[in-house]
Amino acid sequence: MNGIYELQGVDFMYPSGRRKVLNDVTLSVREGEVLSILGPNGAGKSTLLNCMLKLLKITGGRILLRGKPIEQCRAKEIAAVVGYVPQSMPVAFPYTVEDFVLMGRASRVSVMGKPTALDREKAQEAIALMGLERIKTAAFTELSGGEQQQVAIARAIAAEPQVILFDEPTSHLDFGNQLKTLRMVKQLCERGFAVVMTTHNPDHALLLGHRAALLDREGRLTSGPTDEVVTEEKLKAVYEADLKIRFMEEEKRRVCIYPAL
Amino acid sequence: MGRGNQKNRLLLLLTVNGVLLILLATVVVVAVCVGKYAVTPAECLKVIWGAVSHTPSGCAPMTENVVLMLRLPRILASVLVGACLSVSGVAYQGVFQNPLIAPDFLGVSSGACIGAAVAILLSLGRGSTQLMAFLGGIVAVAITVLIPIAIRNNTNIMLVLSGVVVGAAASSVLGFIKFTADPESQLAAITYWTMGDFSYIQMDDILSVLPMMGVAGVVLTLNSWWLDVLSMGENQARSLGANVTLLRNITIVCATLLTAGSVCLAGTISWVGLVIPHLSRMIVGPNNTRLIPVSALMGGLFMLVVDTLTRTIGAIEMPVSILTGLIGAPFYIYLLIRNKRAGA
Amino acid sequence: MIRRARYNEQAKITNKGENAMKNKRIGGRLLCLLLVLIMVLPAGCGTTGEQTPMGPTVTDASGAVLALKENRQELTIASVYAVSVPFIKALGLTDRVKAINCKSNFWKEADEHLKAAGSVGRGKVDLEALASFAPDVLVHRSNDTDTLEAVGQLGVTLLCISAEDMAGIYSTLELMGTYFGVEERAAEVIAWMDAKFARIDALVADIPEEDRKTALVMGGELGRIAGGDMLQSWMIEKAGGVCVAKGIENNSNWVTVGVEKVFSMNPEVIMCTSSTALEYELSDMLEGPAWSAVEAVKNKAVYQIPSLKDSWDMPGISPVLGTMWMVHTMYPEKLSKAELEKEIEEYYLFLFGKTFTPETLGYELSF
Repeated sequence: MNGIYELQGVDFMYPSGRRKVLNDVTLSVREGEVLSILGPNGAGKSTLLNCMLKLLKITGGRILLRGKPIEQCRAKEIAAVVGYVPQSMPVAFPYTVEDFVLMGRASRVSVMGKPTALDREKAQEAIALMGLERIKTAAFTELSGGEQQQVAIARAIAAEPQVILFDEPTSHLDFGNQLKTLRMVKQLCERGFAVVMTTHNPDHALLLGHRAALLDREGRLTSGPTDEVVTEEKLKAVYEADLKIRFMEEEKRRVCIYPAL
Repeated sequence: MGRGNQKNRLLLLLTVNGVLLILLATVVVVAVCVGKYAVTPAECLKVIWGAVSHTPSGCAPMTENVVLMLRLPRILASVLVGACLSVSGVAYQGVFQNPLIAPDFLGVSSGACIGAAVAILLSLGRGSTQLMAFLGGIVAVAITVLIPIAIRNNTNIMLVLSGVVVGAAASSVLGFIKFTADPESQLAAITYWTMGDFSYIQMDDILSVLPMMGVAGVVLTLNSWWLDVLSMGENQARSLGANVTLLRNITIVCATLLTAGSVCLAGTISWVGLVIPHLSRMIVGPNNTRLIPVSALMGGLFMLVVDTLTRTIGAIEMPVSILTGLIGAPFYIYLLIRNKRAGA
Repeated sequence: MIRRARYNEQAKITNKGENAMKNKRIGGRLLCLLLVLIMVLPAGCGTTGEQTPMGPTVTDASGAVLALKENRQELTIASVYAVSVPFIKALGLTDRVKAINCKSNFWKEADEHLKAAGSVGRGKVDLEALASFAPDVLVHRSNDTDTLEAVGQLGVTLLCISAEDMAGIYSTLELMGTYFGVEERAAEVIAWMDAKFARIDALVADIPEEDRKTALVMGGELGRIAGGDMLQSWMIEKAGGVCVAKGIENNSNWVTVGVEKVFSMNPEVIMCTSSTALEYELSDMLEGPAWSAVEAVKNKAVYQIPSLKDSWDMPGISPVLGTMWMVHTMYPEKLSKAELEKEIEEYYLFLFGKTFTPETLGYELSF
């Protein structure tokens, strides 16, 4: 069965770059699944997401979104299917949370149009889902990092997409918020969304289960069920570190931990 | 910092707009009646009624001329220019995601000054001077916009830099034109034109730019929600589904038309497009759907007040741009300080 | 399944939206083009034709044909053009002036009517002030169509004058004399000037070619000189001198030739204008080391044309005096100090009915 996203032999190189950031990448994103994308700093995880969002143009291979080559998809089409939660959102003006989330409905609004009552309703639903009612009239720029991310997730949900892309959602958060986010990802999955999440913490991939992908510095991607991809040898090859993977009885899951210093 | 729910916001908006409209109407009435030439309010009404109903007003011809041909066009022009400069400021600030952008940074004003200066140098009539000013502004912006495309780096930063370069180049060209101008007559005319003033405005001038500026304003208002989306930044806007290129182009074209039209009517007037959007944003928030009408009203009101002051205070009429600068600059600093204190 | 159906529906809606958008785009562009055209056309239209007035007329300096009014001896006057002031004074029209712009206070202090007059601006006409003074005529310079249109709206007649050179000065006197009904006085002034110039001709007629002094008039900046077609250069030649700027012309305007060019022209006499403020001191030339080789500096023949309050090299009647002064400066044996002082006295008596001390006027005769 074909996934929502099918990446086939995708290459990407920056116009001024010397190495391929993505080298013959093949990947599948399926409904109701979490795909964790791991890789060292600078490997190209964000670039991969940007290519999937058509923010960057791939230099080889093809990306199919719902069976259609992404070059033929207009921005609105993509946005109707794909939600995006970026790593950082520098916002110049103090929009309220409500307005911010409402912008997620842009894929449904006509040119020279305004959001309809339905759009507003969906936005409110997304806010309720994320439990953000009490701050919905606050200015986005005055929220904490964690709150901003939750608002961004609400915005992504508001569009009623089929897949949500997260770009390193936990990197700036404390442990408590990290856990919240990971729980939210799991819930989204259970609601039927496909989730793609880049992270540099292999333990998150183990926590979420389903599928994982490993992007190395040469731009090559290995993907498959998490247990197959997140192994000690593969991690060592990519991260050049002796990470240990053990099964933890109390939590009934595999965990990834640092070795002793 | 909450601002109440949807209903409250609507109420605030209506109140603000209502108050501004009333203020504007009041100031218009006052402006028609004040000036160096003494006219009583009763005479004003008689003259205007006479013109509207095509009956003789019973007032002296000079009074009629002053009210209908000097004051009325001037008042209308200053309201129009103030509104358009403010709206174009709002649009530019949204497109470039920067509340510090002013309408003339893409080079419209500099280009318009060159067009006007050339027309003055060639002693073309007033109508041609306005036309050349308009074209000059458009050409300058076109160059500014084409440079990033030509060097294949079509980002906002590149556009801003391009605007700075074009503006600087235009200043040099203008300097050269001023140098070759006849100091007795042409240089003074060019300088006056550059400084911006409403004193010789005629109804025809206004009518010739009004349709275009009206359409540009309407398009911007229709696109106002999309401008919000655009102001999130190119990548975010694109990922949300906005046709960033199209929206950006439409917005820049409309905002430029508004600015070029204003400049060709009244010369360079700075600060209005920077301060008014800022002030409006502090009152009704950053949503462009609310911001555009409020800025338009506030800008029109501000410009009318300033222009009326310039022609009634003091023996010599000051160019309007000087007064907007004298008022605008300190006020802007005050706004910035206040913003900083509020912890923004 | 449901999601797929929804997606297809959305795709349809988007497609419809796209087409509508495309149409809107094209339509929008056409609309913009149309609007630009609308804007262009009115500007292209010229003014409606004007009929030639009936009855006696004059043609002013801009070529406009103006009808002579029946009440021309009572027409009231306003001006922002300082050049018109000496003419107004010479023709005895100051009692008709409602608003004026004078180059210096001297005029206002010397004439009570001018002192009592108001102002309608100092270069640009303040239209409301003009409306409130309501003069019959605005006397103005001749190359300003903006003012022409704006003033015409208020029902005020615009009389354009141009007095760049001697011919212009004479024709301005005649024009204003006729238009304001003071032809006799105009003829009187012209005759007076002719007589004075005749005297100057006689004085310098027999100066041999080789003894004629080379000279130029320096403008407001060092290196900016009066062009060969300017009034000042004419005055030099009239006063028996040789103008080194002959051939350097700039539409009767000052020319920035640069200091080096002045050195190469090497005049024997340098006279600095008093029609604008000088951005230098005479000592800059007399004591400046770069200037030491210039003939005029060697001869210590660097002067400023009098006077600070009433410039003798500005359009008006004063060039008569200015030329006299030049004769005295270049050829003191032809016109002595005492004789020059007498001429000065006569001039001010003729125009103002009284005399003024050198201190009041702001000049000093050094020899």
